[in-house]
Amino acid sequence: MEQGKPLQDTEEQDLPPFVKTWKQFYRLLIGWLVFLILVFYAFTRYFE
Amino acid sequence: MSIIDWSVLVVTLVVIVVYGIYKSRGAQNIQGYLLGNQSLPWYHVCLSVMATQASAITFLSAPGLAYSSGMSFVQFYLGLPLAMIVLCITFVPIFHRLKVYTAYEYLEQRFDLKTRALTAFLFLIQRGLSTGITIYAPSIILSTILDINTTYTTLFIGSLVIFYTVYGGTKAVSYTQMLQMSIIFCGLFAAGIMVVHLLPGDIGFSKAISIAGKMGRTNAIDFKFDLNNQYTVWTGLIGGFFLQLSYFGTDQSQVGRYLSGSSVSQSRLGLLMNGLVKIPMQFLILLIGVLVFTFYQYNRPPIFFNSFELNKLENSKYAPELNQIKADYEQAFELKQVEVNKMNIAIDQDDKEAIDAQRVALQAADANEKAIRTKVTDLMVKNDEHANTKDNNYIFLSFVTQYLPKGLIGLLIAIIFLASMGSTASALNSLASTTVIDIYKRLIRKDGSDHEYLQASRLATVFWGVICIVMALYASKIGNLLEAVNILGSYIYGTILGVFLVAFYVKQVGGRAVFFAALAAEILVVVIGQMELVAYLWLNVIGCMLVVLFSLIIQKLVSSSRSI
Repeated sequence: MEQGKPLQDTEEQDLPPFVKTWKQFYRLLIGWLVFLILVFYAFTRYFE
Repeated sequence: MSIIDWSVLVVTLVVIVVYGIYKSRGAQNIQGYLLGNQSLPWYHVCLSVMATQASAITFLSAPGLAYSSGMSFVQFYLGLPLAMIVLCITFVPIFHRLKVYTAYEYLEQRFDLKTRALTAFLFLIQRGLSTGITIYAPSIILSTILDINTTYTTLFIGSLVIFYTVYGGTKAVSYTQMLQMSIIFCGLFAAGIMVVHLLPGDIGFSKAISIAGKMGRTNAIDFKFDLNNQYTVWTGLIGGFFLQLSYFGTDQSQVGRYLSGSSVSQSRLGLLMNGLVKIPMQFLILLIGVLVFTFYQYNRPPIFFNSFELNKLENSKYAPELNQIKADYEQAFELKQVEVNKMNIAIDQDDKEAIDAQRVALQAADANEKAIRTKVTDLMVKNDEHANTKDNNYIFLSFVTQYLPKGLIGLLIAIIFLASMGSTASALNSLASTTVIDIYKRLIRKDGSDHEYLQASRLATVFWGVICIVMALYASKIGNLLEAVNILGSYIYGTILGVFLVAFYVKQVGGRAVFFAALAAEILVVVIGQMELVAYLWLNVIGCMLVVLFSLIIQKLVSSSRSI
């Protein structure tokens, strides 16, 4: 079914800015999330 | 408010509304009215989804939450970046490729009409109710300023939003939201600077947070796994992920925002940027609440932040009792200030033993203050059993109107208006889209003209606006508005998300199986929610999982009976 399949073709055509692929952008976002959790944890421990 | 504040408020509102109307001028068709002709760049999409989610409630309730219970609420958003990634991989390209107006259109292509109708119906209930709360939130501002009942202010704001939304359509909503978010960022930044500036000379930014931290207000991260704790890293990452995925993936008020992107790439980029910015933004809003908390350790806070309810009590036969409680409150505050000053010295000297001792003393002082405040709310109920005894949403507002300089008060109040207008406009627009596209056009009048559907959309917007105003009139009985909206969403979003996940990833399941699975899951979620067996964020996970599980079981049973 057409609407059910992931669109690898579209991913290849529409490239994101700053990085080479969308996958890299997703990894960047996950890295940012981990970084934020660590910073907030440090914040919690430091000021508690 | 001073003339300067009124001027800032009126000019800001007029400029934004006129800008929105100007941008949406000219002949409209149904595609332009509901999807803005799918022409917007990524930064419009990003600011638009942020403005839709960040309603006035965000700016009223979040600082109040931080003031009363700390920063743990930030964990609620931890699942958001992950949800953005899943959306970008699956939902966005599929919706764009199929050129749908609403998310529910896709479900008919994948399953059948009844599944589309069920999810559209659940959405209309959830969004209709929560938009009522969204309208109510800013109406309490006018209520406090003008000292009149929230009923009148709700009616006024609701009418204003309906007019703006009916006239504007999606394009105007997106353009005004972009301007609104810019003003919101500037205003909040200025408010944060002002709170620090208003603290005593020897209390800097770091010291202010440190004092609040010793009183349990900087609890941003909690790694403990506890199913009954509303805000931990795990509820945020897992429950929050499911809630955000269903909100952004299946709630038309958000789907409509990113479908207005000019391409898959622009929609994706807008959503991913939202994933980058949202958590730090929420953290900073909560931090303002923490700074306000420290400020009130040195400046006596009102005994009750909702001045309307307090005035009612002051003018009642219970005034003498209230005066006695006020005297106790002043005394308790003076004693607490002594402890705060001791804590300040202990922090300066980095004396861990003294800090621990002061922590205990301050917690006792805090508890004493809360007990005195409870006496006031008890008296309020004695005086009027319908009195609103929750004042969380008034904390930041009370601080803004009492302590910020002229001009900035008007700007911050304008911000709360603008935020509400933006998110309410999106919600009304999406309610109209779903009503017209999924119900009117699909079930009632299939062969109408474009103009007819456009008119129907405008009428649907007015209809939902009126419903939302009625709901808003009941919102005053609900405690923290931000939590109320999220709890309501958690009852419904999980089920809708489950239907979409089955649609995308479980290809052997058909329409009948998923329809009955969704019905059964929704009933169970409501039962679990009402029994308060788990923290509300988990309801999203449970609802979603139940739909997937029940779908597979029902499909298996149907297939087996057929083969027999």
